[in-house]
Amino acid sequence: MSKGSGLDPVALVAIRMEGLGLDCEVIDPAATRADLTDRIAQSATLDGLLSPSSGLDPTAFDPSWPTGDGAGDDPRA
Amino acid sequence: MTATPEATTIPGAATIPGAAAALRSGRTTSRELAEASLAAATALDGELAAFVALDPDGALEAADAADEAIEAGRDLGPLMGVPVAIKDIVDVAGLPTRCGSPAYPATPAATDATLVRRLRQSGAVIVGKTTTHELACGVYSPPVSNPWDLGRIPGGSSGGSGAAVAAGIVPMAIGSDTGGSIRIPASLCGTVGLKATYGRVSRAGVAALAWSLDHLGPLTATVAGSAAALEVLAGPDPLDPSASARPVPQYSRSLDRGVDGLRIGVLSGAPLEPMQPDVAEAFAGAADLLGRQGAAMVGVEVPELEHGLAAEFGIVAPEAAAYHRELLRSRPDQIDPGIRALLVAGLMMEPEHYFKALQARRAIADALRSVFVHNRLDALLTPTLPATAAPKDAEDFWFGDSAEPVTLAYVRTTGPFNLSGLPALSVPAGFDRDGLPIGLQIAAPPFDEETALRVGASFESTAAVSERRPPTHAAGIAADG
Repeated sequence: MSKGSGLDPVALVAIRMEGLGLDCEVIDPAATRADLTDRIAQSATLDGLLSPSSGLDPTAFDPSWPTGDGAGDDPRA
Repeated sequence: MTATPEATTIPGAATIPGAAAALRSGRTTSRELAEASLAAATALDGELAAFVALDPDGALEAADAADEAIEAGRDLGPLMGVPVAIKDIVDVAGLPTRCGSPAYPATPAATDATLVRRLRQSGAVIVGKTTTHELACGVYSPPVSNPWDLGRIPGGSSGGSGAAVAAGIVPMAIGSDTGGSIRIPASLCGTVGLKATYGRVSRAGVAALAWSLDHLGPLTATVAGSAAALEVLAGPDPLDPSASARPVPQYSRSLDRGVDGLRIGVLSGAPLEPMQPDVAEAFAGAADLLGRQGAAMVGVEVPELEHGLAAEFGIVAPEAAAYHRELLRSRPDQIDPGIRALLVAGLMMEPEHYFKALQARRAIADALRSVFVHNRLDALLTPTLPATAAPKDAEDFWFGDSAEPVTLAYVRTTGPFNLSGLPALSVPAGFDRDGLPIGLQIAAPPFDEETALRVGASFESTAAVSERRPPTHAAGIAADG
C-alpha cells in the first residue's frame, strides 16, 4: 500500500506538502486543501473551451495575422 | 526635505513632450526638473507613498549630464533630461530591488535592467523607484494612495508608478503587467498605460511573476509620452530570448493621423459584465466619440473571454510558484498569506491544470484573432476596468446583489490581453459620479502599437480628460508653498 492510503483528504495534502518541502506552521493543510479544491474547480470550467486537439504555443503569433510592420497577409487591405 | 516647487509649475512639464519642449527652449533645465521631481516625491510621500527609494545624487548627476548635452547641441530624443521613475521589481544599479517584499535583500543591484540601460542611454533621469504590490502580485499596492482620493487604492501592481505620474511627480514611470498591472493603475489613477505586445520590451533584469505573461511598459501623462517612451524601451535584447527582433517603428509619427477610415471593434458581453453604470456610460461615450471622429465602429463579442480568469490564474500560479519556490520553502512566513496560497497551489496542483490553462490561452488568443480578422478590425475597445478605484479596505465590489472580489473584477477585462500577448493601451475616458477616473482600453493586432496609440491620441485630443488634475498633485505643492 502506498503512503497515505486510507487517510482523509487533509492528511493527504499534508503528506504532499511535506514531500514538496512546504511543511511549515504558516501553511495550513486544511486551508490549502480547500484552496486547491476551489482552484481545481476553476480549472474544470475550462473543459468546455477545449478539445483534445487544442494546441499550446501561447506566444508564437500567427504570421498570417496583420501586423504593424506589414508582415503577413493583411486581410484588411 | 523642503519642496522646491518652482520647476513643477513650468507649463507642460508634467508631460514628456512638455518637459522636452521646456528643456530645448531653455525655459528650464534638467537639474531644475529633477530637483522639482525629487522635492515633490518627498513632499507627497506622506500622502501617496508612491516611492520606496529616491536617488538624488544619481538623478542630479544624470540631469547635469543631460544639461551639458543640450548645451552642446546633442539630442538624444524626447526623454533626454526628463525625470522618470522605475517600478521596484526592475534592477537599477546602485539601488536595491525589494519587490515590495521583506524577503528581498536591501543589497543594491549590481547592474541595470536592459530597459533601464535604454532609458539612461536616451538621457532620461531616474529619480527613484516606485512602490509595487508585493511580488508584483496584486492590485492594491499598499501603502500607496490614489491621488484622486487618498482613501482609495491606486491599483496594482504598479500602484506607485500610477500614483507618481497622476500626481505630476514624474511624466513617466515604468510598470509591469502580468494580468493588468500597468493598465489597472493607469485606469484608476487617470493616466495613460501601455502594455505593448509580448516581447516588445525586454524583461532582462526584472523580477518575474509569470514568465509567459509578464510585460514591461510605461505609465505616462499623455499618449504622446507613451509613444515616446516606447520608442526608447522597445527593441531586441540578447539577454532576453523572448524580446522581439522586429524593427521598432517611430510610434510618434502616426499620432496625429486621426481615426478616419479605421475599423474599431466595440466589445460587449464577456468579460465586461457586470460593470458600474458610470463606466458603461463612459465607454459608450468613448465609442460614440471615436465614431464621430470618422472610425467605423463595429459591435463584437468574444464569448471565449469568459474563461480568461481561469486561464490567467491557471498559468500565473504554477509559473510564479516555480519562480519563487526557494522563497516559498525557506521563508514562507515573509510572504503575504493570499500570495502564499497562490504559490502553494502552483506547486501542488497537477501539471494537467497548467497545460489546460495554456490550451485555453491559445483558444482565447485564436478567438481574439478571429474577431479581428473576420471583422477587419484595426483596434478593439473595452473599458479598461469594469469599476473605478475601490476603497482601501474593500475586498469585494457589489454589482447589484452580487459580490465580486476586487482583484478578479479588475483582472477579468485586462487579463485577456496578457493571455493573447496583444498590445493594449489604457487612456483616461472620464470620471464617475465620485470624481474617480475611468479608463478606455484600446487593443490592437500583434506589434501594432502604432494603431493603438493613434486611436488613443485621437480620443485624447477631443475627450480632454487628461487635462484634469487630481486633488493631490505636485502643482498643489507650488500653490500651497
